[in-house]
Amino acid sequence: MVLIKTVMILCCRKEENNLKSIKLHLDHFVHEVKKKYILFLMVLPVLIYFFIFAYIPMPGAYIAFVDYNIGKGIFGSAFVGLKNFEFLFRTGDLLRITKNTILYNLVFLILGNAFQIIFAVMISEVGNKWFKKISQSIILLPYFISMVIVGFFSYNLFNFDYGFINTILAGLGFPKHEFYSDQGIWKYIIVFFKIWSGTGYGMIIYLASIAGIEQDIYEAASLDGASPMQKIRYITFPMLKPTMILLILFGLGGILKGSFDLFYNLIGTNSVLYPQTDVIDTFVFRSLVGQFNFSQGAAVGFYQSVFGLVLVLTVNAIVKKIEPDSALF
Amino acid sequence: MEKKNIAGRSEKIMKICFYTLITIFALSCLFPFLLMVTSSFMSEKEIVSEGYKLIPDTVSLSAYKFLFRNFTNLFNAYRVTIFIAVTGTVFGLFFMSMAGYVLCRKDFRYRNQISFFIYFTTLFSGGLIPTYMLYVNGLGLKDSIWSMVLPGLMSPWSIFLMKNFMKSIPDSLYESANIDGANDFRIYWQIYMPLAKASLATIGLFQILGYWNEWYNAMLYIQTPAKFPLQYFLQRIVSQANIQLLIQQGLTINTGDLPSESIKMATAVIATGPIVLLYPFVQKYFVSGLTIGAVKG
Amino acid sequence: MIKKVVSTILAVTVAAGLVTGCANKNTNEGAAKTKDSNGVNLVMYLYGTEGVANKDVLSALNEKLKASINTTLEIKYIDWNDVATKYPLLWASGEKFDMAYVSGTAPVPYATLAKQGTLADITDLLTSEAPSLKSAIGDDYWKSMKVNGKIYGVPSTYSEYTAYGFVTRKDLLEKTGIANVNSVEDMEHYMDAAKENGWAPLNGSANLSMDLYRMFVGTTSDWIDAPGVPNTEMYLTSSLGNTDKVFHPAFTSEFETFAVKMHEWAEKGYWGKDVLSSAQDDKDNFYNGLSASYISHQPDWTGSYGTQKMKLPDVETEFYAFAEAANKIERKMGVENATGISANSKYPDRCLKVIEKLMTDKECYDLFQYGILGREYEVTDGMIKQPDTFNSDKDGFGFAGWGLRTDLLNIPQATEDPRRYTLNEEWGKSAIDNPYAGFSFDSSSVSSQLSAISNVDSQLGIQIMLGLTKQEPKEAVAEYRKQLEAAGIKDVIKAVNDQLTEYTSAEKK
Repeated sequence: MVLIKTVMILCCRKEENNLKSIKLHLDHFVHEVKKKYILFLMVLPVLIYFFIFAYIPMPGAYIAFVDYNIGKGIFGSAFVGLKNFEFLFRTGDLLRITKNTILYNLVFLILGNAFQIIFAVMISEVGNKWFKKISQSIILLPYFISMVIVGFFSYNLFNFDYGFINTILAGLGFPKHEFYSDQGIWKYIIVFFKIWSGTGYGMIIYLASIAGIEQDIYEAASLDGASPMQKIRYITFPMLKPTMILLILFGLGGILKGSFDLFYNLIGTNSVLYPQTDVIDTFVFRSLVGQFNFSQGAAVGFYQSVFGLVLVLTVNAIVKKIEPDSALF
Repeated sequence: MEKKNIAGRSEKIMKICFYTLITIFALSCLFPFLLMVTSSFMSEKEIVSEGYKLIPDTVSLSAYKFLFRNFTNLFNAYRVTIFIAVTGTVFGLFFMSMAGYVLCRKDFRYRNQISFFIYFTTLFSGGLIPTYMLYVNGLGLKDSIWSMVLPGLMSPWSIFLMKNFMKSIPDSLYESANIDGANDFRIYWQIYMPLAKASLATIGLFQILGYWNEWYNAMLYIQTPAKFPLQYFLQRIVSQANIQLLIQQGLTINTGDLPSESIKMATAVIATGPIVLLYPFVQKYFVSGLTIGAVKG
Repeated sequence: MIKKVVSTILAVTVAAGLVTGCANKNTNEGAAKTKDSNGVNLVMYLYGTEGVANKDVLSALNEKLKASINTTLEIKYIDWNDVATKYPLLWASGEKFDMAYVSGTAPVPYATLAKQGTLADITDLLTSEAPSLKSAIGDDYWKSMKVNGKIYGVPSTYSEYTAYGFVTRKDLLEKTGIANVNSVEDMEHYMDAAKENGWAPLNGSANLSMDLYRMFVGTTSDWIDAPGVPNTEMYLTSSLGNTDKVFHPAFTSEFETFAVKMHEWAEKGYWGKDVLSSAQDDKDNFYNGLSASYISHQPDWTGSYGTQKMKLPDVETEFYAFAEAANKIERKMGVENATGISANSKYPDRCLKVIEKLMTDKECYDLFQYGILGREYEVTDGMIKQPDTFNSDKDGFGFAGWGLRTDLLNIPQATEDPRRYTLNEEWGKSAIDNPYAGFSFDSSSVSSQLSAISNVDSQLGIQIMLGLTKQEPKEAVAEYRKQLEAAGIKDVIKAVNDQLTEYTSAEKK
């Protein structure tokens, strides 16, 4: 929104006013730098870093709009407009994979954060120090298990012939279940694995936030006769809100991206399951395998980025109205 | 100061629930990891015919023997990873915490614009080719250790988290220091940093974890085997990925010599072990009540 | 302030455009590090990893090269795992090197590299700098390297017939009284018998679908593989009698029959219900004793002889080549394993000379392909074996030098099934040349169709091959045809046919 406003301002105002306001801004800016030069210096390394490592390569995203020719380079290749986006529309799958991606990511985001908060609170509340430390470490373990191995384990659990679950079912006298042909069940399995692998890591942030809450507040509440649940509900949760909003805003930017490893290793080539489990990244991977085509991949990336940008700008503006302190910018 | 424990019944029930839930979840996290560890001690024949097991029929050290044959290289890979982790974390924490401090200052006029500037980089990216050319052609970092340190040095997510944590430090501290005549850097260094221990520990842990898992940049930029980080080194030992593709292209590979399933498990164990041991040391910073005393004093 | 940010971004865009644009142009620095006024060091990229002894072998090789042509060779590696990412990056980043492995089936195909100007045109250089190389490699091989009439790389001349076929176990054959497998019906008998005896007949994974597709094409009248759609999915075919008209088999009645048969095979349980998600493929399972058969190509089968002796010591295997009956076995084109010279290279002439040495000089060839005599290999009874003194920690060696192999200088390996050479000889007499040698399909006008088709193939296509569709096979085929058309298969076929017609008429001139 900021950018659209800027562009409008640049285009619509008269030139004279334009120059005047630029000069005014520049003057203010220079004055501010002089006054707060230490702050500027402190933030400078970060600015330089992102300028070099993020903004300088960024124009390369233009590759999404050309017919990339190695010899001619990105900017020398022929411009083809939106042609690289065509393949998304040809099979009519675009709506389905976008819907899948958004739904999964929303569930991951909200349910994931919920689990992280709940476990962080629970671990903070239990008294035994050893239990706290050990359980934190154990819950972090899944983060280290690569998705490839998770895929193996999953196959060992669910396969029809000798999978762990089917062996138990057969042993108890129940009929075996064909997990790998069952479309409905995988969304639960996938969400489970995502939460299982992400809770330990995400929980750390909330633990640290809880650690920052002053103890006097809790004591005052106890003196007022508050029960533990009430303390959690009225003190802990509200204190965690800014962090949660921050993490959700960040998550929204990537709403169309991510988790390729998870989906690819759990579902892989099992096309029977695709209607329920195909997401944009896996779809694109399959479309481009066998072809040498950077441009089409970049085009999809562009689509994901623009979507995320619009979403974040919108939600950020809303958050700014409700809780101005928690907005990203 | 300790939390006064009101031993009401509701509190007891709540705590029991908590212990139970945590235990159930922790067991589900522990089980696969245990399976990985026990499978790494299995013989290949058994894994192939009977799958991973918690209690193998025969215990075999062949996977570990295979990995430790390369001991000097493995040790070296650990060294590389530790170097980039420490360097990247120290510098990263320093620069990012400063940025977090600046961004949380309400009197800094441009904090929203700079926040957007930083955040925008998480949405749009030039992609592999321009980034690669920047590092190799532009900065001459091909085969340099810094090509593994720089990419993860600063992350917008960590900066915003840092800013978030610092916002919770009371303004009164800033004001009193200001009145005493301290400049921003001193306030940051002497007041905020000691109070931000939990956040430094958190972000520091994330930085270390990120560098510990580093393999992608090594794959892109590093050629000298002596500079391979741990994960990439282990991956190469296990690589079977493109063999099938090659065979489809009509080339023949003698797959009988390729490492087995137990080696995959053993490499996973070796990769994870040390870092999990680090975590308990960092946990002590997540203890409540660090800001007490600061305000009162 | 916001305006400032925007204008900065605009300025950055322009600046960065210059940086990234310039980095791609050929700087005149060149790749060669001159050691003295005439000595030259060349860099070659190959797949694989650096074996422990590679440096030693290379220095022995360089002694000879320096003595004869005052040049030394340096090898850089692209690890197997990383090929898909690093190979395209090698060319796209403008990195300076002299030579590299190229292939029609590499992540960036040879023809694309040639057309986009990243390879040096060596058509004339060959005659002036390496005439003996030119004559050592026959014209048919050179033909497969031609792009728009010019040559951009040196092909290998190592005969291979990558004919796909069905591998069976002799002990199972004997047990079930089947003489040998020589047709698809025989395959069914074998697999039924295997199942009765408690074996998983064809226990594979999702890529079994492509093997079955190849079986279909190979055993159906005079159909051969045709360019257009990549070989990793359901590719186009043409009739031997009319190679200028390609078509998609899915639109034929034979395909319907085939789909029904595959459905039957799935129902009979030839492969597991979870075949689509299985991690182990049929070849691995076969050698681990978990499958009664597998499908692969002849060089893979013969090359796995060493594995077979190690893992299935008392078992012998047989091979039924799908295309043999109809005399459709094709000679492999040299372009599938070749060496290209980078357009960036400062010394293309020296490069050619080095390639010439590696492919025509016996001592250099042996060093490069087999290592140091006595240390990495010894020759017993005309075959390559590892000497007893071989210690893989010190002597481990390997260059993925397939692009430089020749029939003339090749020495058979003890780990290869000797039938490889007898079969090759036999097939050499009846084999046909690939009619598409020298033709490279320019897919840029139909790249979005190809991506869409790739998606259709990876979903419904694979399911039909493995008989796992929810609908009845004939309905599934009708649906598949519909999806292919929506994806634009007709555009692709038309593009291929048009380009073929153009190519053939240009050839005739």
